[in-house]
Amino acid sequence: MADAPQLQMEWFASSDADTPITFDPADIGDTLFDDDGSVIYTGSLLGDAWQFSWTTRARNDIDNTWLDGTLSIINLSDNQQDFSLSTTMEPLASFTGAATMDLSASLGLTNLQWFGDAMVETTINDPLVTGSIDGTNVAGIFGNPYSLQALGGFGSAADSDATAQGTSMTPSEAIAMLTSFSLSGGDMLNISFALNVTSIPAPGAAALLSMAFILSTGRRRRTPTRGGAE
Amino acid sequence: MSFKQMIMAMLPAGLLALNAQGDTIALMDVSASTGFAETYAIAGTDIGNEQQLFSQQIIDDSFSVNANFVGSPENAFIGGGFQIANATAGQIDFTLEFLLPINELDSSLNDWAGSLTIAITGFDASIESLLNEPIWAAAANGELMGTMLVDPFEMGVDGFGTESIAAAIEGSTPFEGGGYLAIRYAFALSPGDSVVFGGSLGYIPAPGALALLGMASLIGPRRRRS
Repeated sequence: MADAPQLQMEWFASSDADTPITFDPADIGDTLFDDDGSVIYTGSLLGDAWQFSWTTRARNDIDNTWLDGTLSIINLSDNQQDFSLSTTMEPLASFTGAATMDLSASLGLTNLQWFGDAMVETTINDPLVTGSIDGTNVAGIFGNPYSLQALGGFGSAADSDATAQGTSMTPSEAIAMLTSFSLSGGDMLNISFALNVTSIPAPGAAALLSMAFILSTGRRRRTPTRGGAE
Repeated sequence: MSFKQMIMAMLPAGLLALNAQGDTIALMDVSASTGFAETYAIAGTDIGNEQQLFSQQIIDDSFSVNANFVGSPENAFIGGGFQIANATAGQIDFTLEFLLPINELDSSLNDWAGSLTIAITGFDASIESLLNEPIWAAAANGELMGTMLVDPFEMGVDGFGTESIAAAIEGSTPFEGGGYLAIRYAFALSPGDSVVFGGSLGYIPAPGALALLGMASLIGPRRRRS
C-alpha cells in the first residue's frame, strides 16, 4: 500500500494581486482514497475574475510516482488573462536510479459566449504543460509558441500531446506538473494530464534482475507437476 | 427520450426559480451504477454580465464529481463541465444532468448551438456510451434539442496517458423561456481513471436583438467622444 502523497499547489492569475496562492489540496476541498492506493483531491477556488477547479490523483511508491487529473479554468473577465498552476509532490524517498518521465496532456477549450472565438496560447518561453524533477524542467508539451482556437459562438476545440523523456536525474525532493497559458476573456479551458516518473534500474540491478528471472524460470521447469497419474 | 421531466415535477416549486436572495437555483442530477442517485439544488453566484456561476462537489466512496457551470437565466445559455474520478477497481456507469432555469424571454428564440469536449486520463483509461444513450443530450423545457456522440461510442488510451475529443452541434428549437435548459451526460468510465467534460449550449439572439446591439455599439462611442 502506497503512503499518502504530500502535495502542494500554487495558483496564479495575472488579474489578481492576491495570487499566487499556495496550498495543500488536502486542506481545501475533498479527499478520496482509490482502491489502487492512490489519493484523489478535488476542490475549487473562486476569484473576482477567475474560477479554478481540480480533480487530481496522486500515488507515491518507491521509485515510482505519478500524478494525473483534470483541471478546469474559467476566465470570468472580459479580457485575456494569464494563468499558471504548479502541482508538486514530494517523493516517498530518494529514487535509487536515474528517472524516466512520461508526460501526457489533453486540452478542451470552450467558448462560453454566443459570439467571437475562444483562444488559449502559451505564455513567453514556457510550454503549456511541463514536467519537472527537483526544480528542473525535464519534459514539455504544447511548446511555445502554441495556440488553440475554438471558432464560433459556443464552439469547442480539443488537442492532445505526449512525450517520454529519459534523464540522468535521481529524484529526491519534488516531482511537479506545471501549466501556464493565456486564456481569452469569458472562456473555459479543461486540461487533463498524466505524469509518471519511474526509476531506471542501475546496470548492476538490471543484471541481478535478469539472473533472478533466469533462475526462477529454471526452477519452474524442474518443478514436477502435481496431480499427475501416480 | 424522457428528459428528467419527472425530477422537475417532483421538486418543490420554490426551487424552480429564485431563492430568497434572488440568486438562481440550478439543479444537478447525479446517478451511478454503484446505486448512487441524488438531485442537488445549486445556488448561483453572480459574476456580472447577467451570468451566474454554479459549483458543486460530490464525494462518494466510489467516485468524485466536481461540477462548474456558468449560466445566464436571461440569455438562455449554459457553459462549463464536470470532472469525474472513478476510485474503484470496476467500471462505473454515470448519468449527470445540469438544469438551468430560464426566465420568460421577450420573444421566442429558435437558433441554438452547442459543443462538447471530453478529455480522459489514467492507465488504460476509457469512456464509452451506455446502451442506446448518447454521451451528450440537450433539452429545452423537456423537449429534446439534439445529441452528440451517440451509442456506440468509445474513446480510450493505451497505457498511462490522456486522450481528448471535441464535437459541435447546432439546430433550431423554439423556446420562450420560463422553463429549463438542460445538458445531460451518460457514459461508462473505466476503473481508477478520470474524465473531464466541457462544453456549452445556448440560444443565438434573434436578428432584431442583434440589430439593437449593433446600434448600441455605434451610439456608445459617440457618447464617449462627446
